[in-house]
Amino acid sequence: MSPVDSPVESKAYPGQSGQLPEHQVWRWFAFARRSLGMAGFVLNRVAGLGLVLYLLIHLVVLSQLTRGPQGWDAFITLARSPFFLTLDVILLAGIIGHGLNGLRVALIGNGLLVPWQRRLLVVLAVLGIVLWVIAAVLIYRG
Amino acid sequence: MWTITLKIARYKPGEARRIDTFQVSIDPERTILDAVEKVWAEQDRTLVFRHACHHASCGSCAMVVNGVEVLPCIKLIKSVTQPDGELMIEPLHNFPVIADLVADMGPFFERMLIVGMPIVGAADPLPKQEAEDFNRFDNCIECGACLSACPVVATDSGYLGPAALAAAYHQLSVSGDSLSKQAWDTLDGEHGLWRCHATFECSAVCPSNVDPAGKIMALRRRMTIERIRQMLGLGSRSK
Repeated sequence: MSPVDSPVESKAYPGQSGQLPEHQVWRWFAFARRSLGMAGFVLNRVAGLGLVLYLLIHLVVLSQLTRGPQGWDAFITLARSPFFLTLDVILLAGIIGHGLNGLRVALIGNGLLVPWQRRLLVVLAVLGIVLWVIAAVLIYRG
Repeated sequence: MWTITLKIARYKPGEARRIDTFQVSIDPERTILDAVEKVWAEQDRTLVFRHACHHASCGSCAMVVNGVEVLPCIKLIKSVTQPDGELMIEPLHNFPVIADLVADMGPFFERMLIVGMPIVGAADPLPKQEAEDFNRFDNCIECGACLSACPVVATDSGYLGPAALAAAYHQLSVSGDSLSKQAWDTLDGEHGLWRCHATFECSAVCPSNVDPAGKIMALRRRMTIERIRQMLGLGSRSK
């Protein structure tokens, strides 16, 4: 039997070849069509990186103290603006998400509640959202 | 009959990687492997893929279809697409590729040997329990889907990975508490069981219900208990 048709289309493909693939960091974030656990893994990665970035910004902001009371007071006024309060609410989402997900990973990572890991993720996600909404309301109310 | 589009990742040593697109008319009750075979039989005899048993027993045909590892020999067309739908078919991730859809399984079996596990062991008599509860590691068909799905293997090629760690747990269960110090050290090492990030993706894609992630967590629990025993002077790490 011989080929009766050629491919309809042929184009370049960035997939793996004869070499063993190394350091495919992008696969950490490839959660489309994956399981709930993978979504939790991605959430922890993103939130963790975000919190590290926040820590750096926080240290830069604290350096305003070296400029004396005037520089600091000016920054505090800016920090109470709606834009900065919104950044605080986003930050809080990262803290709550990373914290609760970290608790889940610590539990199941030591062999506890393993059969219920999916349910645990859902329950903690719901708890996190409730806490986040309450905190956001408190932040905006000042 | 449905007409579906197969986008198949192609690679031959010395050639550029590419995606070839094929149109196939096929009964949606047939499997993905049937569609791939149809492409090979009717359109491109240079297409390289691996298969043998056609009933999820040999584990040799595992591929990535629309981003998820499957055994195409048991995955029905209708379960993954629709009329005029599209399937993106790739070789297993995290493995070198020999050609087209054929992954080099060497790294999989090298991992099994690292933890000193026999790949083929004597069959145990079936325990008296319900079939749905019967979930021993011997069910592993060494298809490599778990290694392909693991995001940790993607950035640490030295990581033992789900199959080898599940095999270690199985061996530990079969042999009581007896594991050599070398085996313990390998499991407890930099690329051992603590490297797992508990995505449970290996268990999600396993076509044989081995639940490698569950076995890794059980192994961790045993290791943690063992460490506590050591700290309290209640026992040694290996026997």
